[in-house]
Amino acid sequence: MQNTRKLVFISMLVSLALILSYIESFLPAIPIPGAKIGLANIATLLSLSTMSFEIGFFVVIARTILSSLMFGNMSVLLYSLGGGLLSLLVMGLFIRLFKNKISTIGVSIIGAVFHNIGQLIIASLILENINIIYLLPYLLLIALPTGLFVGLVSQYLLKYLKNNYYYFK
Amino acid sequence: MKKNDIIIFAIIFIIAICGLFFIKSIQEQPYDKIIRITVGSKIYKEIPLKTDTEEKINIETDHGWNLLVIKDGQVNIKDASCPDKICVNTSVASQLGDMIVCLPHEVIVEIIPVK
Repeated sequence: MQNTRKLVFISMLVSLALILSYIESFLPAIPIPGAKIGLANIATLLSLSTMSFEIGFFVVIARTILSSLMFGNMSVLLYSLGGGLLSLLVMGLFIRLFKNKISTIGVSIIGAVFHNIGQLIIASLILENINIIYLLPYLLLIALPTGLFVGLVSQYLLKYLKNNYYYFK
Repeated sequence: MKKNDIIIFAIIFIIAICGLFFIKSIQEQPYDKIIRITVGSKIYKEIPLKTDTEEKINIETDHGWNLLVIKDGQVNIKDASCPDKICVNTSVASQLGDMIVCLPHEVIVEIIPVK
């Protein structure tokens, strides 16, 4: 019973991420390459907090590949994957190391920052141009409020999930 | 929200501000400017940027095209065939280090100093 429940929940998290990506594509884009609000990261945060790093890994891979396939933008797949995976790794690390000293908001901000750093690394490798690092200060400044917002929403959702027995740890 | 969250926020904020100061300090140096257009890893074209330069360049790549307009010492992508058009919405490039990027077309337009 527990496993079916878990499976359904994971599927819903991936669907949530896809819908959030879709909605985000309608919002006015920030005119700096790679800057996003990153609403889909809510799903990643929920996965990491209610389940495990492995499930978070699966959710990131699944939602990145699926959303690139579904919304017809395969060219940005590598950048999203790089950013998403680096962000996941660092978030997972922070959760494991600083479990009680940091809240979901802090993790989300760190995640947003490293998502941008990951994308910049991939971009500088693909375009063979290190100067793209000039964008980093602007991306960092954008990562702060977006990470904060995503963190707040996730924190609120997690409280609800915990009270309704959706924790699988 | 815990205390460490605020510390993380502050650290990142300070790093970003320092980065901006660093960029501004480079921009203030009186180097001559060159516009470098790269497609993928190859340099497509280089044009000196002066206040009287006026040009329209249609950058043609395997993935599509970007229309670059140079006027009044500013560089701007006026239109492009990419799906997200982030490059069109990016503000103009006029200072050293300014950069316009079109990721789907692997186009980078950057302003670099003459060395």
